[in-house]
Amino acid sequence: MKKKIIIIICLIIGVGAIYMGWNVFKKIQHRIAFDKKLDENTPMPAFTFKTLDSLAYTKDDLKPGTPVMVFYYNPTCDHCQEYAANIQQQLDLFRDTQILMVSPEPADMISEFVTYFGFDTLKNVSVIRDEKDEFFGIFGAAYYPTIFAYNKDHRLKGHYRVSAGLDAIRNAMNRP
Amino acid sequence: MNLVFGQFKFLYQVDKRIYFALLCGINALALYLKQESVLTDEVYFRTLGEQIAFEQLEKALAMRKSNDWMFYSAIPLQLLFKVFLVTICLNIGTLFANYKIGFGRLFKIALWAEGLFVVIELLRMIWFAYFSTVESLFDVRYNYPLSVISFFDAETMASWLRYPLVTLNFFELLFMALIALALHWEVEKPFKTTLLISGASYGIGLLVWLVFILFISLNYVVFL
Repeated sequence: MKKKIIIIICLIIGVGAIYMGWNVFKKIQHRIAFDKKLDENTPMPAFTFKTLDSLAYTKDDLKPGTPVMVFYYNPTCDHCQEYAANIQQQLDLFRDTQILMVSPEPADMISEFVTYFGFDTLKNVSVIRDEKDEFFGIFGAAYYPTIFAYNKDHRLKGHYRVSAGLDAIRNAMNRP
Repeated sequence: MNLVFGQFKFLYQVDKRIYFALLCGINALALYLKQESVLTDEVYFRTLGEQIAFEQLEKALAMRKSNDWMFYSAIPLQLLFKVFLVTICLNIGTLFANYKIGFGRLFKIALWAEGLFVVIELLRMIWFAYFSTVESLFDVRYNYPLSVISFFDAETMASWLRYPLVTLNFFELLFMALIALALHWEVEKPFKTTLLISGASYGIGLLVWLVFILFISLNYVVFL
């Protein structure tokens, strides 16, 4: 009798393990495909975010034939502020590029941040808000800060976190 | 095997409750070293500073310090839980092998063998505290001696792979061998047979556990 009960329990656990195993297998496949978003030469993904005036901003709003730096940040993050200050000091490096500044934070915080660093007056800087917090799912990484460097064909040439130098990022954007 | 570990038979004969208390004490010492000397605030800032705002991290660390007692009080429960799961695996294995051995004796076997992991954890924390420099949480979490993960760079690999590769280590094999040895002492069957039973029952149990952890982490945890 005890053996029968144990066999039934084992069967239940076995069925549960097979279900979980199958689920794990499918999730791993999905993860591997997701991680490919960060491979070099991956085309920029399609996205729809909002400007601070609540207008839609998509990939089509970017100028073709111009390299793009996507700067994902949090206005309260120290490293993001340092990075923004570095970019402001080396704006000449990015004169012929587009800078897309993306944050999921409230519009007033974003506005204060970009005004403080003077990005609101620059023609090649677009300030947009990820109001639905979709950045991670679209781009594949969302640390504070994360920088994605796209070349003139809008293909990914590198993604960087806090320790990356701006020269390296600009050089990556120049690569064919 | 008997020659090497037969010397530890005296530990096997110690009362279960005293041995359990001893393991809890060693675990508490390892945890103390980990909290006070290994995982300092600097380590957390270095690891998480890019993902979490400074003020939030400070608050989280202050909360962690004030709730330290929860980690210490969880030690006996964690130990009991793990030993209980191992005992269930052994119970199933010995039942299919038609060994006449009660749950209590199997619990004692699992508890005795668990001493291996408790001692290893203490040695790890002593190593990190006094003989190694810890730069980030990764250094501690994914640096396990004689494990498969030692052959790879944990920081660059897929996050879901880390826990399974840490779990697959030489000490798991040694653990199975210790269980087999204790089972051999209890039921007086050949060591090779008890090794087969402990390997099959604990091995399958460990595999099911790994699948369960992967299921939870891939479905419910965004950042591992």
